[in-house]
Amino acid sequence: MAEAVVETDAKRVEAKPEREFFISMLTRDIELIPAVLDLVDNSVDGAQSNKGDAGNLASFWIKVYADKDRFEIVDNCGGIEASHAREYAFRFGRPSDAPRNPGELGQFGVGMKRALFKLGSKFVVQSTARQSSFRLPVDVPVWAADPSPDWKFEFAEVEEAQSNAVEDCGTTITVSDLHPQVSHDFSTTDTLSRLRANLQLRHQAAVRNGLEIQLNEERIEPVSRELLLGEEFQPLHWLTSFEADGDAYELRVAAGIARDDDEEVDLEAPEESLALNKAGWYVFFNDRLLLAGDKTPLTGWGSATAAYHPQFRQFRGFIDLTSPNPGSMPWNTTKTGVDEDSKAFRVVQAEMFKALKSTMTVMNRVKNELAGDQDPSELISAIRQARMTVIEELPVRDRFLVPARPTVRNDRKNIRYSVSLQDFEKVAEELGTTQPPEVGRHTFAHYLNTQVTAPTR
Amino acid sequence: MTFLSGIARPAKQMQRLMVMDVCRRLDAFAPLPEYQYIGFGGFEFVDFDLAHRLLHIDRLISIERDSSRKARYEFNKPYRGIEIQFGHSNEILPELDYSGLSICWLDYFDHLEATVIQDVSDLALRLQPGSMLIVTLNAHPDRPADSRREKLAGRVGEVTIPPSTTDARLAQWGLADIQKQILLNELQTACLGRADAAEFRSVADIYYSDTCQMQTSAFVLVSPGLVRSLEAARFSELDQVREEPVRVVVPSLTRQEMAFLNAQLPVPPGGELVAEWLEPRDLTTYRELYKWYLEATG
Repeated sequence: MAEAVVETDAKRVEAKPEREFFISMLTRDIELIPAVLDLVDNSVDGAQSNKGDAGNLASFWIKVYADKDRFEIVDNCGGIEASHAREYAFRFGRPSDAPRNPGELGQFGVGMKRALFKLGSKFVVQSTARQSSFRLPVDVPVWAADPSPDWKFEFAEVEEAQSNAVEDCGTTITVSDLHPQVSHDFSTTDTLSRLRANLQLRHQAAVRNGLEIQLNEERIEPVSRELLLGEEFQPLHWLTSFEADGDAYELRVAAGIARDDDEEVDLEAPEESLALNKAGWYVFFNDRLLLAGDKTPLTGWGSATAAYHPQFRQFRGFIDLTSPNPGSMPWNTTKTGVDEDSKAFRVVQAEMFKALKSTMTVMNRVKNELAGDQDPSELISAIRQARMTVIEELPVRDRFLVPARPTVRNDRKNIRYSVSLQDFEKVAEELGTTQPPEVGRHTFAHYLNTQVTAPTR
Repeated sequence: MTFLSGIARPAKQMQRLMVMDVCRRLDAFAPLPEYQYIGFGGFEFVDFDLAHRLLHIDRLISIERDSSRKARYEFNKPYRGIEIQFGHSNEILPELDYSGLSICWLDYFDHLEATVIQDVSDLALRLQPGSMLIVTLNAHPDRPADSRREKLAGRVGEVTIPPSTTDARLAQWGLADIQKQILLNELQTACLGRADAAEFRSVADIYYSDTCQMQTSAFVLVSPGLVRSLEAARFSELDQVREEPVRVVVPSLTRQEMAFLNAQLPVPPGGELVAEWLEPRDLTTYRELYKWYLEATG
């Protein structure tokens, strides 16, 4: 019998992971801001799961604090039941029997742990749910140095069989002993600005639905998802369903022209516009923003006839792709980019190509008619009378509604020339207009009337 | 300005008639009057006339670039139902209604270039399955000979050119072969984004020559649910649909010679046309193409 035991041990080959190595591999493929966003995702998931009959998220809030000494995220989004924490929430990877809510952002089962390891050496998770509460502290270096093959954490406090009020339910995660680089980054304006911008963009739907998100006590405001809509000018807006690789998707496409702030549409001064960076495609997967103001070949820009140019600075396109199964979303593991090879994304891409081409055609018409001799063209008038409208309220149409193209008259001649800006401004002020075509017409008419058709002396 | 009337060019007219024969087979997908026809009619609208009379299509849209001659185009259109849209195809094609079936014949003067690829790639996403796309291009080899590949790259972009393309391969009808290959690649790539999994199937290729070498390729858009309709269309049974492109060469014959040859047609299996004073290649060509030749030359 002893001989048989020795034979079994001799055949055993060790393959268990080292905790330190595991942590380094886990945190290697995620940057700081996506790590914070993963934690916020969990809170948003909690709010969505607990909104009940209210329909909106107005009773929920998430407060993020980030500075050189600590990171903390506090929410009232329902908390984590101790049983869930015990069996699922702190596992690395999502067990196949873990319960899932439709539309849940979390998918791979590593977000929270990966983010906490990324941020610092010590963290405490405190949570109060309807039936339980717990406090779980972790000293990461101590945990990583533990040679035991039994991978576990331990509650410092736990109480179950409780009956807690809804308004008392929530989670607080505190990270201290921040890693030096994280501490440095959280002390810089640049990182905090980017974090604010990402929070603003990535939970658009939830924020519009009433959820309050704060960063260092400043509230995050939603970004506009609006396009110009008028009686004679209607943008593209369609909804479609499709299947790809066995999964079902719903897709909303909206594309058109946006007005910047409340000013008159300045169609003639592209290069000076501050709205340059806002132009492009905004792509949402299950309400999470993946691409913001994208103007790359990924979304149809960049070819010879579709290259981005400042004349398109008022282009806005919006994609809403939803699926009940977050695992089917064509994004990468960090949910910061798209999976370009997936069939679902190719379908989305094709819809963007179509919408972009149609919108560029309209915008090219605008440019040409501005330079033309119709004053003003019906298209320009229609755009100027249009109002910004949220995309969900746009009429459904797969082609722009625009006035018919003007007839080119062959009894007319275009005149084009450049003058110094100073001289132009002097003459324009004298004439009481800022529009170059009007200045041109007035000055030509003046010469015609005074020098060509003037009465003979 | 003088120009060679589209009707007076027998090779081009034969090509048109062949294309119309191919289009007739679309009745396996849907009744032809349900289709709309989109093309570049020019002043003579020859293909529009054929689409209306032979295919019984009433919805006809002609795209013309030169809007300063609108009155002349309107005067020359043969039927009231032809709608003329003025503008570049790049701008007009995306604005049209593709909710129904379409036969879209893009008859370009020039070689394959980026704007053509844009047009076909955009249409690939908009057309309904059961629609047909026909593209006519200039296939005349560039000169000098050692600049052919470079010029092609300048027009379509280096990345779209098949790897084995050389200056020598672009001689004679080689440019036509490569342009067809590029077109098909672009259409298939565009279709990867279609939610209905529809793909373009190449149906016919016709090479012809009037003032210069030209090529016409016809593709039908087929979704998985329309495979049986594609089989029922039996495109491969048409004389002008072959493994290799059909070369339209117009033999120079007198009416008396044609009457003599017609009396022997159709030739029984294994038989040959007999007229010892004519070149054998003219007899072969006439035997293959006489049906369209007679109709094209009246």
